[in-house]
Amino acid sequence: MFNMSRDPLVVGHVVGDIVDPFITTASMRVFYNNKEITNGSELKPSQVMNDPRVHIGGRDMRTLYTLVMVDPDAPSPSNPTKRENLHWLVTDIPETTDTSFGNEIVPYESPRPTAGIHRFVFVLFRQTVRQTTYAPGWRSNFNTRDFAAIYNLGSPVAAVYFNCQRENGCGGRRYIR
Amino acid sequence: MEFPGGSGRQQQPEPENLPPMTPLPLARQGSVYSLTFDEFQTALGGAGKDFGSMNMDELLRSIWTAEETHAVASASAASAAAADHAARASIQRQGSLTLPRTLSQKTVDEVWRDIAYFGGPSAAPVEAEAPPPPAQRQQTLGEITLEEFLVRAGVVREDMTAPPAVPPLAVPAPPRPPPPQPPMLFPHSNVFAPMVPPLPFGAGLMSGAVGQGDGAAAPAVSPVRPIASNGFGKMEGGDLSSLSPSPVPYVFNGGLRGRKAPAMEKVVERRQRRMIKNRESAARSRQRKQAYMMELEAEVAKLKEMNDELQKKQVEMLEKQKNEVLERRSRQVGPTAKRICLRRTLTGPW
Repeated sequence: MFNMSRDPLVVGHVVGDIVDPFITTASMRVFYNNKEITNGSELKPSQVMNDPRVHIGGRDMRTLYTLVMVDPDAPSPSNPTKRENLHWLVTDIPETTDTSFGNEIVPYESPRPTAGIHRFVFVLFRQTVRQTTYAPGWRSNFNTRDFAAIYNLGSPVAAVYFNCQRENGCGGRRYIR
Repeated sequence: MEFPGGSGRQQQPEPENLPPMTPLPLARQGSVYSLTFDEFQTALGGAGKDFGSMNMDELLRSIWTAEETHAVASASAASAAAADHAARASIQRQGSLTLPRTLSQKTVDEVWRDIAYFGGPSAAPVEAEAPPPPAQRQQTLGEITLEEFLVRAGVVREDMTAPPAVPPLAVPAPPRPPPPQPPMLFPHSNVFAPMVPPLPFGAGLMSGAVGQGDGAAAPAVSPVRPIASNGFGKMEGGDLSSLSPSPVPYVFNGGLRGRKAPAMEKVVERRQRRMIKNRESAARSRQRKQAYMMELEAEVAKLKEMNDELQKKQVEMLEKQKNEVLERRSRQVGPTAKRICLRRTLTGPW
């Protein structure tokens, strides 16, 4: 219990805004340009332009996973009216492999935050069966919880997030004084 | 020394404003100011000399020290409260600087006499309209709350010492006709009540000295309220940015509408909004930082553990290796051992 409040996912409000509290039971490692990301690390848009390699550890190749990448701070963290913005959706990823072996339902959209510092979250679900997932009509206002409920994915099994802001500074104050 | 206009002012028909206001804002402060003189004296442990002969300056200073100790004691209660007290303390200190010289040198006794006298003649006519105020004024010095006293002293003094303190106040006071005041008073009282918690009587004192350019100071109920509100009106722009309590911005909007021009109000609103947004952004930033720190700490811990394990394993491996080599060698050496042992060590006799 003590570790709950020291979990970066909780402190960064990933747990709460996007997912409910869960227990990490899968090993997910996300590599951008062969560099693994750690929770809360800051990346530049130039570094995350191309889709990362998401490796799922384990032993049983028969277990399939679904990966969701969302931006909960769209269009800006102080005004997240478009929460969450779906950036990537890959299903049927076999354990011990990575996303290139899965089904890319929604193609990777490279993060381009315009205002403020956004969190970009990868959420991994374990599938019970191989299933067809339908892409949502639009990327904005995606809801990970609902998505998981619709496809019976249950609780997430892993999550990781990084921060990203505009290339040259966070794009501060706009309009209203 | 009398102020005929003052007495006339006293009997303004604003009873409905005073009763709810008087007990409410004062009670809410929960600070030293709501103590009566008697209580204050005992609270100070009799350390304060007999207040009667104390100078106003000394009185104020002792109040502030009491306030500060009180603030320190309750500072742990809430950070907002502490900020409040800090703001209060700073505002009070400002008030001291602006206390007119004439007032500060008078003793408490003299001030009280003047107040009592001031309250005396008008007690009768006012009684019919507003029971609570005359009742308070007729208290003895010991029973009056510090607040009331200061308030009345601050204001009453201002009226009397027109030149050094408040020229515009003294002059328009007497000739001011009653009618225009009531409509003005409502927004004042609205502002006053909610504003009291964060900006206490130090502000009232200060505003009294600062001068009432906007006028509208004279009116009814008690000379204090509108002046204090004026002070607030003047200070709100500057002080809002320095005050921390968040209830203030929200309440302000309702009270100010009648008082300020719409332009001012918009500016204030914008500023408040900006402040709130800034705070949220700062909070988010802190959150980010904290989350990252925790992640790093967790990583470090994990890596350290791994490192230790690997080191241990390495040592073990080396050990094993060494042992294996030795074993192998010793195995090999087996058949030759005899040979080695059978070396000639001694040559027999020829």
